[in-house]
Amino acid sequence: MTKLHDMARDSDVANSSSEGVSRRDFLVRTGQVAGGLVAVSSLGTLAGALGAEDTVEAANIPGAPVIPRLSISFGIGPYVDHSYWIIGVRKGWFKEVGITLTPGPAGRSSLPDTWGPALISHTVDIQSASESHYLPSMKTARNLRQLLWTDLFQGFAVLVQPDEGLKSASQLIAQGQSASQAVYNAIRQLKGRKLLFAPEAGERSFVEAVLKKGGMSLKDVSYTEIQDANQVPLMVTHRADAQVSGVPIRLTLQEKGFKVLVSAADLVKTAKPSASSPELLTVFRDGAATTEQWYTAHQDAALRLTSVVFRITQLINTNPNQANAIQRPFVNSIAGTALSPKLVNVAYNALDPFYTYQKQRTWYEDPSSPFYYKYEFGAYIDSWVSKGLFKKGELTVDELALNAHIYKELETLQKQSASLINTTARRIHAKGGQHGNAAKLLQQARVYYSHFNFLDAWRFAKAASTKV
Amino acid sequence: MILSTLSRYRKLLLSFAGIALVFGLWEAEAYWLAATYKYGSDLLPTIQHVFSISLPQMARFGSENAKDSFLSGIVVLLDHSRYTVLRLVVGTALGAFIGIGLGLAISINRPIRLVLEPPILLVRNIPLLALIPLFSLWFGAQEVGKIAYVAFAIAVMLVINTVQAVANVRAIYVNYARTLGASAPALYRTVIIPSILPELLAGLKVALGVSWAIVLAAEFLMANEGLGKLLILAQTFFDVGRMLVIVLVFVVYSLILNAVFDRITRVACKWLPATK
Amino acid sequence: MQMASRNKVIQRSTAPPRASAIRPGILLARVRAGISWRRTAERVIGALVGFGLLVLAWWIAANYLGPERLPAPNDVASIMFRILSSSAALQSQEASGGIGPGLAYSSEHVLLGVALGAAIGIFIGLMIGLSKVANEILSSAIEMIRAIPPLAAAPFFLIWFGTSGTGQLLLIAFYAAVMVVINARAAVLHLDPVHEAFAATLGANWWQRVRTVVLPAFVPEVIGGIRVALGFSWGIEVVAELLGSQQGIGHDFVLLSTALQVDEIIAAIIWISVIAAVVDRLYLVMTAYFTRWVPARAQ
Repeated sequence: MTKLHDMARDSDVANSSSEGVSRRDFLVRTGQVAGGLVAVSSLGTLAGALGAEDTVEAANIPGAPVIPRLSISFGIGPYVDHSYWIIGVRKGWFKEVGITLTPGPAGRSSLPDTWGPALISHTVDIQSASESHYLPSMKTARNLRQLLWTDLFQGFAVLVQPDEGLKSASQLIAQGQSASQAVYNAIRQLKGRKLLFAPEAGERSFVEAVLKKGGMSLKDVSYTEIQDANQVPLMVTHRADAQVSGVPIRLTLQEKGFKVLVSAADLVKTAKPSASSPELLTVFRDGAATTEQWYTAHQDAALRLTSVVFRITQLINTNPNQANAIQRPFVNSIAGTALSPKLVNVAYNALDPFYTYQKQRTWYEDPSSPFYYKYEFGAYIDSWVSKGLFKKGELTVDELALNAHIYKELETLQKQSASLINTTARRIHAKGGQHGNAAKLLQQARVYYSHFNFLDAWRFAKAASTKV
Repeated sequence: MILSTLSRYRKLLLSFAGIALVFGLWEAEAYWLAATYKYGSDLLPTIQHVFSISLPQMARFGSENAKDSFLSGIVVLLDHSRYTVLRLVVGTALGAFIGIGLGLAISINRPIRLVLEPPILLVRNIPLLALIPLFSLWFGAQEVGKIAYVAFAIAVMLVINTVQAVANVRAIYVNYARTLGASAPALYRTVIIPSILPELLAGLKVALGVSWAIVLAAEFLMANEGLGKLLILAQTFFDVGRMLVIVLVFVVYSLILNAVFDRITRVACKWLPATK
Repeated sequence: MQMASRNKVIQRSTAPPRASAIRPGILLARVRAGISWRRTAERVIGALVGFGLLVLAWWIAANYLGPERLPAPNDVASIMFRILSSSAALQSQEASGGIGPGLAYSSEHVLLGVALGAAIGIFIGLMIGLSKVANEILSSAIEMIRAIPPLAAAPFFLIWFGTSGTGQLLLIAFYAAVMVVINARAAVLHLDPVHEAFAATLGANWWQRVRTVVLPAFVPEVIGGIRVALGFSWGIEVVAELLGSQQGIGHDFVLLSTALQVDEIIAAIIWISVIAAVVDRLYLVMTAYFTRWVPARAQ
């Protein structure tokens, strides 16, 4: 019975047009699947767990490589760009690679200032975060690493009072100024005005970069560092002219009519491919962070986790409504918000666009793109070195950027598994296309391949090739 | 100034007058803000808003796709309350045990006093909010950390309180008992402990009052559930209505706990000679 | 002999020192008596052992947790004076050089805030004490307001006062006042009615009774209440500085936490605790004069 209902569930999962499995659905499909168990359906089937409790046995195929089960103590945040993990959970994608996020359903939700301590105190093994969140804390804790990148956060913006006659960059562009002129002039209007921003690493970097684009520094404005939330009463009671905050408060204020003067999205368009391009500090990439110790002990799991992330970003790009339908209720329940589907789509498209496996190639392979990973890491590290927090060379990109290493590893595995699958397929075909274990294993390898799980694609292809 | 001669009825009425005063000021301020600033109504929602909109909205923290409703909101609040109340009770009990125990030990034994009093006098002044980042590094999100935080704050308060209470025992009682031949243990059992009971309970009541604020701070320690967690989330999105809901819940619990405590105090101190 | 020393233990503890102890002549007399040196030595040794135990516990915990989570005592000790003027974490975030200025700013605000709060508290406390109606009305209001955590109340001070120092000062004054009022009210309530009745029998009118019976009972409790308020206010100042303060030790704590500079955070905590303890002691000494007549409870 276990075998059957696992198969049923997984056939739902493999069939990506489903929405997740209700009890009634799986009972219906159990009946359907029970009829035909041959392992050559188009997207493969997965049988239930046989034997050892700590492995996910792919198919009812003798000799299949085992995928070990792993429980990851996980941390997320009550934001759209830190809660997408639920999609992987609800779709069963994590389960497919043996990963369970604890505490359920998708980890522990907390606010950014706890993320660094959460990793350092081993409260979580992996934390949804960007290096810009925890970089300063690496002065004390040198074992933090960026494991992967998912989306480009360009949601920061300077909001201003609507009635002070300040013109936004977009307005100036509409009036005929060039992009860089408009940005410069718009920001210049902040000179001498009261500006609020939170004493968080990411916001500070944004503010300094913005002011730099206007030929100014923090000395040219009258600024107050205060938590995002406390900025609202100050803006509403007209005690400040401009503010910078994270997305929740930005949306809250925009609803109240405060207008965007200039946004990260505006600025990053003019970023140059270099670590000294100040526009790069207006954005950052979200993903997941971990400790060196965890990564060293779980390198395979890291590859599998990354594969699930790529499935998630693929879904968000190709079928945002489905992703929306899963993520929106979840993030609303952990944040207590009532984000509309439209707002979630704005997040998907404009505030923090998610990049697929293919699109991330420019991040890791193309030094002529401003988004080449070394530039963002470099820019952030350098900004803290120039302020005296780190000594030059104390912190290097290579040390920090595990994500580049993992992406390259995946690419290599992709090539290897693709070629191995092809050669093995040819060999099987040459032997008359037997419906034996080799074919089943190869089919399973193809499934994993299509799921970006190139590690297990390769392992299964290898197992198949030995059985031919 | 003989307050005891007030009839209970009148007392209750005046208490309500006091509470009504607070609510009245709230409403007045809410209307004033709404009138003075555009979106001023978001700065301090009216009482109606808090009860008819913010409270039902708490339902969203329950299950996904939950509908806003008064009942679900209450259920969510109760559900999260049990975490907070548990942390409060366990932390306070532990803190009281350690604090009073240490306080008595310091009072009884001179060497212990000479050794323990100086560090305690230093440690009592540590600003609690500054300890949060440290506790989150030391304990992460474990419940132990939150309970240790509460226990620490309470213990420090009660040690001082106990030592002062013992010091305030009327010398005449002690000397009289000695004259009658009481040994040290008997002295403690029959004179000291009973005499310090009222002051100890008063100190415990003050500690309990402060403990709500302390538990709130403790829930900054990556609590996944709890009223403090809800308050922090409400603050993140600057939803003052929800913040007020949680504050009201705190106030209600605080008042209930106070009333219960008063009753316990009255029973425990029934035997005291009538000073009041 | 044993009993006598225990008696001393019960009596002496933390009662305010008698005013007589301040006069130099008495000190000399005690020296001649030869007891004080032994007692002082005992206290010094006791304090050293006590702090030594604290440091030992710290050292053991530091070994267990590791230097990123809890630096060892010697690491913190070595930066104790340096951070007063220079801290990389603070400077990299555009703050003043070290925590020295912040300590000064916060101490100033605590003292001002408590003074203001005490004045308000005494005024309200008197009102409560002298009028039964005021007592009943305000008691419940105060119980309600007391239950509001400072963290939750802070945003409202922002609405009313913005980020100026006024709002922060008033936040401290507010909570200090609440504590003083509670003590003042307790003082009046617990006053043995026999004193007033007796005074009335002897022919005192209302004002004379207030002046000779109520106020003198009131004063020591209020002094005690202010002392408690002082103790809490350091913590509340840290909260108040979240209201957009650009200086102060609370503000420094936020920046140090962003950089997770644990050793500097601990050093700063030690500094502020020491300052608070010193202020507390000074307060006791200064107010001992006003409580010197309090009938012998501990004598």
